[in-house]
Amino acid sequence: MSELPELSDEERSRYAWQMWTPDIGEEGQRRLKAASVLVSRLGGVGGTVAYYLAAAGVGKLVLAHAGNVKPSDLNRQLLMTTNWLGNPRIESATRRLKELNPHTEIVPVAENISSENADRLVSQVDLVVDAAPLFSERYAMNEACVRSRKPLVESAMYDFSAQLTTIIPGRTPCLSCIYPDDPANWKREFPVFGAVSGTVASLAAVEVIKLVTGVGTPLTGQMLWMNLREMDNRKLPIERRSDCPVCGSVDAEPSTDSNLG
Amino acid sequence: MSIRVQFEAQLRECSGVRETTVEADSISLRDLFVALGQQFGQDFCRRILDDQQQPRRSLLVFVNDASVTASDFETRQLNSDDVVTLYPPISGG
Repeated sequence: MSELPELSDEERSRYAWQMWTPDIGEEGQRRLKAASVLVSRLGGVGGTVAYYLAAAGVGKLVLAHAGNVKPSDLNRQLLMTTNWLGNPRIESATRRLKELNPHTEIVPVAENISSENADRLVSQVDLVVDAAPLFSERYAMNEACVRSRKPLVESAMYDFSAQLTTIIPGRTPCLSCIYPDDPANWKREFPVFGAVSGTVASLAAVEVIKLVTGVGTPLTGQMLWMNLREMDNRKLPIERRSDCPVCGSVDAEPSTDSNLG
Repeated sequence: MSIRVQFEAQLRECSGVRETTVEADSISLRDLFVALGQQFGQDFCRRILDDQQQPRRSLLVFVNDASVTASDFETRQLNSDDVVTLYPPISGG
């Protein structure tokens, strides 16, 4: 524990209620302060993940999102504000997060994930949350996480449906095990209420908190599928593919005292 | 016999129904997919079958409470009153 950063009195006061959580305490909070997380895209899912991780006191957030704020972002992207329409999304997100928690270091990246930048961005953090709207971005992130053996929380939604799983490279199925073929007919634009994207975002943030603190059991080897129209939720077992071109030859690394690897 | 089939996400949208019932004397999972493709049209069909009329590997398929891997789609025979649920890939963020 000695290598973990100390908490100031202000931080102890800020995080007091969550430090009451059994098995968290001061050590769990220091683990969160020591942690760094990359969030891909700051839309209805990723923006809400980043908001909860900043609120929880994660020490460093690397945030990747290109483009400017549009009116159609504002029904769900809680880090974007009306007065920032037409200006860079990453600036609005950084400002909102700093207003919430000035202790969290924000590394703004005004790019979306691609095979060109994924390794560089993943190398800066302990773990990753993917909330990108395009499978090409998700596959690039998955490959980078497998190469660097970094945990990846996969969170996605469509309409009133949402899905979540935590990938530990070498130990659990990776995204290419789950979806070996680029999904047919996926459209860039999709029906979404902020309350639905925010629901899976909250659960993704919970997964990060569990991975960092070592509390609980991560959602590995299973995909949580939520049907919020009927409130019918199901955990689907998912398996590694021995012929997976991304992770098929990757072995698990030894466990540590957290859930991080 | 009757097989109940439930759809999630985009499959629900492009079929226009939450679930359907397929009547057949004997049917494999792959043949069920072909029947559904014929029933619900080209857009739906492309989401569950590839150009060789094989079920797409990126579809998560459950029969009752058990998942079925893509390699078993051809051989898996369905029984009366089975409930098949199809979960398509989603990527909304």
